[in-house]
Amino acid sequence: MQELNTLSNQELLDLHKLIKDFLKYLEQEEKKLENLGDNNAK
Amino acid sequence: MLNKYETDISINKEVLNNLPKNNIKNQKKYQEKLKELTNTYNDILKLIEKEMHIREEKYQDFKINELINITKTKKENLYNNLYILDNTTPYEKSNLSKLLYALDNFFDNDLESVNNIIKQIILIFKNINIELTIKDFNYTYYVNLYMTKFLENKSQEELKLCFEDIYFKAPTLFKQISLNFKYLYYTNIKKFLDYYKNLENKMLENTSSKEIYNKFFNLNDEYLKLVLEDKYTISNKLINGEFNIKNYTKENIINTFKLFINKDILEENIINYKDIMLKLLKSLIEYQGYLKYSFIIDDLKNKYNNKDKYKNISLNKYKELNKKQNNLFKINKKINKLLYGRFKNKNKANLLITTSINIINELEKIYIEYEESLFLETFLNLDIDVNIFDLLNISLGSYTYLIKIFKQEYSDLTNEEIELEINKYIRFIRETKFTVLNHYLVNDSNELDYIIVDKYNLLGLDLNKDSLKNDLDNLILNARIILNYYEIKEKINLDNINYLINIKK
Repeated sequence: MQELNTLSNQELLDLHKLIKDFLKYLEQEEKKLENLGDNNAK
Repeated sequence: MLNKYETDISINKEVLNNLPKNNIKNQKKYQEKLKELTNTYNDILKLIEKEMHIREEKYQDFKINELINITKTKKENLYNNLYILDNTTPYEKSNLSKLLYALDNFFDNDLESVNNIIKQIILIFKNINIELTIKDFNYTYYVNLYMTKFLENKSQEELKLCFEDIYFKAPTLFKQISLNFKYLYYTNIKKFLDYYKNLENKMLENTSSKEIYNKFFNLNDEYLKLVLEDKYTISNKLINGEFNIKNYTKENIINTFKLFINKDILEENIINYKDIMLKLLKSLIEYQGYLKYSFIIDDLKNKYNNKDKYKNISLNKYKELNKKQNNLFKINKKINKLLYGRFKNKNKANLLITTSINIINELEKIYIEYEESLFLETFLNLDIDVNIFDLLNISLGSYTYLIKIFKQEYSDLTNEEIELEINKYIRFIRETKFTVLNHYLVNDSNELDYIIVDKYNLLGLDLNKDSLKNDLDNLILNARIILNYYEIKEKINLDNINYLINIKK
């Protein structure tokens, strides 16, 4: 990630948003999976 | 780089989508994949945030110019002494006018505040080297009673008891005390005059009034320039929204400038108008003050136009005052004899006390008229070619006048708010280096807004004839934007500021 410092401010902000959104997506997937597990147990 | 991550994320989402979740074993595998991706992207996020933090520190790496506060302190110290040079009476300079007004209107204050005011007034006399004793408070029987307790340094509680005891017999007690102080002031006026003359002489040692005012204006200009040009101040104002960053794009600045020159102009040519824009802003602010205080200006003009009626009016009032006061003192002497002399007669004394209170009520009226006449007589010192600034300046000669006229104009404001407004007014007169109102004659029939527009259009601007009449606030706001723009263009990287604004969201 050495090249991070070559990004413009806007690119850096966009990248930050992109990664955060994806992490949020992963978190939601994790929750969905938990619900699926709970339903199986029932 | 952004594209690479967008593609990666898209692929990873696709991979996740294709993983089966139909049984516990597959669900476990899916969960492991989720964890692996979460760890990877959390590491990436940390690196991004580290870079963001580095930039934040770098972009905010400037401190306020220390000279700003140093200059502010210097100019405020000088400002606080400018009153010494005013062409006003010691009654105004010592602050007696303000404190006695507060005492006269004691119903606005609680008893402790009123006692505090009395303490401050006694201190003013002490500063002039006049040590007041109970012998000085002989205006009425009740004044003497209350001030005896007061000068004995009785507690607030004891003063309250004394006040409650007196109040129904003398509901105007504090007006009586106020008049007693006025009497003491006029009796000792020479000492007051000498004291302030001495202060003035000390201040003018090796200099002149003009030089001191120039020094103040220079300090004030320097302070305003430092603030206007300070990188830290500008950045903070942009970040906290006090300056709207959108106003400073090339396109918007060119549009804003059209208010001042109604033609297409290249951005790089706007810089040529820096000095004239600064002068224009100062003139607009002066004009704004002229409009805001037109209620005083109109009244002062009226007084000025009638000035021939004011010759010697104070002398007659002074004679009337003295006559009435001597009468009061004679009655007070009789009361003392009847209360404490060899042939005591309390009933007769009480009758005379009532008479003395009636005289006090008349004296109150005469004092008001006397002080008003002193103020009106100051208009006689004005020349024929008097300008608006001269008139504004003369109004500083009577706090009583100011409070009366401000109360009329702002009838819905509280006393504290009125005082704030008066202070703003005084600051406007003292702090402004006038360039317009000191040339605008009282009886000039030309409209001031047109005079200003014509002047600046001759200097190269192209202001709409009625722009001051119709759109003054907007014009001032946009002149400020242009002046800020000069500094921003030279010193500030708006992209970095935008970045700081965004990360704070």
